[in-house]
Amino acid sequence: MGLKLNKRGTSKIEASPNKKTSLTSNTNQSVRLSFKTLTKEEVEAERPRSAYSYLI
Amino acid sequence: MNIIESYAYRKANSITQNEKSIKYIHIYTFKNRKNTQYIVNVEEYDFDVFVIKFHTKSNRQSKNRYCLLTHEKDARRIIFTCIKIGQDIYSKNKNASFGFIGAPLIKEIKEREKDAVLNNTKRFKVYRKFATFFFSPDNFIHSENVLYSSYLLVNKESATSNPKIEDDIMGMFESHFDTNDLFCFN
Repeated sequence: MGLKLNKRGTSKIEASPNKKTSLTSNTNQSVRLSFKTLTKEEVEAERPRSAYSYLI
Repeated sequence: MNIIESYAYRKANSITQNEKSIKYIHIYTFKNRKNTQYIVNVEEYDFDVFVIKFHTKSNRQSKNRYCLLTHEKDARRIIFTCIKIGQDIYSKNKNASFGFIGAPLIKEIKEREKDAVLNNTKRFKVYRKFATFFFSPDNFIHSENVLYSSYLLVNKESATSNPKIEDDIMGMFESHFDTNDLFCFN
């Protein structure tokens, strides 16, 4: 579970209407990161029906 | 998934960071039933974002410390202990958001092409299940990047006071993201 964060050039954020936030870096390796936001229904669908209440 | 018991953990230290965006590294430690000592590094970033990482103390010098397996069949309880640490942080900071990345197994590193090493790793799939199981969508916005096996739990309370917080957090990570060295290999 590791993450190293270093400053690498400049960046911009592009938010699309379908609730995805795309992250585009203009470093020379042309990295594109896109986080998809899950709906409440999608999160709940991952849990068994018998699951006890959320911890947090 | 049954109720899991966490291991008793203690906070060992907090180290102030001088890097942009990252403010502190909070270090926790615990021992499991096999007496293996674990180190949990909780990186505190701007916007009250906490990124939780863990490895065994014995592997602390290894560049692959986040990728190694202990084969102790104890993953659920260890991961749950990290979640309890997150809960502890949340109890003290109701604006806390969380993030994690599922580091690839050594096997995945060897088997995959370089560009696919981080894609939807086994650890990511496991951690994702824990995230959806324990973190309520009423309190957190769940966002994932399967390609980089990354998951964000954005605090909804923070989103109320700052509607742009999702973009702010993702932008912060993206501007500091070193995808060539995601797991501190170098």
